[in-house]
Amino acid sequence: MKRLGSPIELEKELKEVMGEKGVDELLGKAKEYKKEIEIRGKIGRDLIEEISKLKKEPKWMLNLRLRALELFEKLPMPNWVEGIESIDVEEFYQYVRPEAQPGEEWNQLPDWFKEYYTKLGLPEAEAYALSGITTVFDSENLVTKVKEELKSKKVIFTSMDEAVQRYPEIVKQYFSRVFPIGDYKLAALHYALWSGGAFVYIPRNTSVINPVEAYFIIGSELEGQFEHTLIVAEDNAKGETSYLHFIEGCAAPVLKRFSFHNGMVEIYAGRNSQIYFTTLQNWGKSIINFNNKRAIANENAHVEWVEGSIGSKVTYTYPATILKGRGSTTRNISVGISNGPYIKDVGAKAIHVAPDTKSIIISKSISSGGGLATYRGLVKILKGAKGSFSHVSCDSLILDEKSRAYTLPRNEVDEPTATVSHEASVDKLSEDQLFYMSSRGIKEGEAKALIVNGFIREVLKKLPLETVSILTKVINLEFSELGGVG
Amino acid sequence: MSSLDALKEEGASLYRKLKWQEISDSPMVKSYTDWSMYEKYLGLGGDVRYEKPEGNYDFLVGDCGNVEPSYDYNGYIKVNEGKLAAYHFYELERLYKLKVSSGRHKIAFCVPKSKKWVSNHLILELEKGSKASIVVHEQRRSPGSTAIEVLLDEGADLELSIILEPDESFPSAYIIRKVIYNEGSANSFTFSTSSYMNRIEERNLLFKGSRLRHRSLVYSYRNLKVDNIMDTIQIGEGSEAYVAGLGMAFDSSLSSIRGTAVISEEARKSVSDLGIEALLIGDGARAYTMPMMKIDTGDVTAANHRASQQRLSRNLLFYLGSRGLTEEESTSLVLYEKSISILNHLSETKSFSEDKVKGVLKKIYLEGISRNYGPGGI
Repeated sequence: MKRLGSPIELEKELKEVMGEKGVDELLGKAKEYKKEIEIRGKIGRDLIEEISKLKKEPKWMLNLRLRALELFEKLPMPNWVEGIESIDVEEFYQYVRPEAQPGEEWNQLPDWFKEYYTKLGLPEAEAYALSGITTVFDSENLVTKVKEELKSKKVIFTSMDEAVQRYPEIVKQYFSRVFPIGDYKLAALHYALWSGGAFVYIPRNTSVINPVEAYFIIGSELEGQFEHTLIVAEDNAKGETSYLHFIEGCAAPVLKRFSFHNGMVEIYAGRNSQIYFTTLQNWGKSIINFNNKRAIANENAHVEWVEGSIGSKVTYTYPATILKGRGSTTRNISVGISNGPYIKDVGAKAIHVAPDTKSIIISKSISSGGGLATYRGLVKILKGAKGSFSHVSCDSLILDEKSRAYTLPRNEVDEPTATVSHEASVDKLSEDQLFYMSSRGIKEGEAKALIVNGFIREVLKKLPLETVSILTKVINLEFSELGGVG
Repeated sequence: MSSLDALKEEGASLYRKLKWQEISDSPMVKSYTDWSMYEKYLGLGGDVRYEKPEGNYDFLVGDCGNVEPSYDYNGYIKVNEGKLAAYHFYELERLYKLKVSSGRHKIAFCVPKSKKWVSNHLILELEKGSKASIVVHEQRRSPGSTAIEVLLDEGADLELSIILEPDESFPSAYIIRKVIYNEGSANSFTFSTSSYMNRIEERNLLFKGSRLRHRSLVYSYRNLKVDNIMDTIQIGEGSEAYVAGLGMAFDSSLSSIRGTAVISEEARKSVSDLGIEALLIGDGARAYTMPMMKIDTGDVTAANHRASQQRLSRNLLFYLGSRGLTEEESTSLVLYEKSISILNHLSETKSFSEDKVKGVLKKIYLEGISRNYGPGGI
């Protein structure tokens, strides 16, 4: 398998695929495709039982869904963030199964799917960069490819639905363990309606060299997507370690009306494991994107979240790590770009439970064209997490007068031996910089992309190579003449 | 302008309907002000006795004082902004207004003694172009709320120290508003001890070309709680706000220090700087900091904020120890210096504020409120 050499190399490979357009422009208008099943209606017991029956799920999963439904009905809409209450979750199709036979080979799927798959550059990524890939289209996984590296190392990589059937004992043990069903109303909704997603199980002392990827595509308007990703790394013995890099990508074609994404990621990082989770969110501008991401880090484990939040009409995402084991660490890097009249409400949470835990949160947000970029974060150090340390750094860049930047951090320290610090700044785009670049023949869009790339350079240096080039490219596209359209 | 009677009536009908707050402060903690502490005092009857505070003051506000009550309200607190404001107006018996010209002024509230909720309200109006320094001192022996509104007319220049000493055994709430009109300037300081639950809600409104330099200092001890909020809303072009808050949490107390700096769309070319620090001194102490920023224009000159929560520097204490100071002496010296250094932007009201801060620190140490001074294990 070819290991990615440098960002330039990857950029070259992706160039052909990405062309010179924004991702939703690249995918074009939504294609007509046949749907085998569509479910929309009042979110109640009948609807949940119907979804579970279609999936031929075991009774325990149906019971879990019904418990989630009960909690969804009881819980109030969250009141710690404004705007969510206006989402009408019954307006969307809660389950959509496209007419296509899932399999391992993408080129055996219908033409409309192959076209999306190739335009997103997934065949190249699958061939050269990844050790496994799964693609969720609407509510179901259509392609799941597991390469030799995973098989030989006995790493389980499969769709979440298949995991429920084939590995019920492991799934029962970890599903909803990290992100409780009753955490809040939209989490309960997710558990009631979840469909599709990825499951990874990493045995002890196993490092996966090449990343695995899950790609999520919403094909139609007025659709809800509720995929669930669960990553479990076994506890390692003393002196052992394990490693996985998981990349998550999202896209949608140009839609006339809105669709709703309410996905979830749970990571259970066992002792001495290292889990890197990268999200490149580039939904089209018609998607309301709600993300629920949480990890538990056990003794000396490390969890790293990288969130490139570029697309969507509105995004709410706050990846969280619960530092449960002594010496566990987390780093959370987010880049949020709100280009156009859109909202990016992104951030991070670090909950320090055990002594000697450490969290670093770095956020870079950019707002342009009337956009609002918000950092919303929480660092909580519980009593007993002695000697813990946390540092939060948030920088915002506003590219024009009508755009906005909010920074809303919360630092709650219940342990007096802990140290927490936070710093933030807001800068504007300097007219001198733009003038200088335009005098050198650089177009405004290109100049903005250059400035944005410069602004986040410090963050890029900290990222895996696989991520850097894709993120850079996506930013360039976002500020190119066609980017942000749609 | 509304009459006090109308406000009382509106407050009476609103406080039962309104919530203490609509949006939670945090997904985990929900509210940093423990509103249940106030809830039990709502509607409680009883007598109120007012006593003169110790010391010499130019103006005494309240039933024991020398300021005539007013019956018309021209302030910035809206009766419908929440349950606290509604109940404050509902319980408000007298409203006081002072028009202040240039000079030095010392103002104190009469000290209410009661088990029922007592509302105090003072509006200070600073004349156009005047230059004044004002001390406002409030002590209370009752639960309740005190509103202090300071309106600086165009070009006025004010130095203001507000010293708040609530009764530890009752919940207390302070609603402080400073409105600085065009080209006005204020150097201000707020100091408060803590109580059963003490909420200090400061909001500063800045018009065109105005400037604010504000510092706040809060102490919490035993198992008492203080929630200090310092919001700054800049609505005028070229305005500048430099705001900093320091909290010290002794024993098993909670200090929450927070604020939101807002630069509105119209406040182009403005500067905002917000710094928050919390020192955790007791072994069971807790500290929460929230330095928030909402920047609604891309034409901002500078906007920064920062926060830190920590124990006293081990290196510093070690150094002082090596110079022959005991652990207690080192700690008290550092806390004293840190507290006093926050007053550096004051001149005419500095000595009064310094004496008050010193007095409270002395009380903390003499009464042995804090048993655990330095970093654990030293």
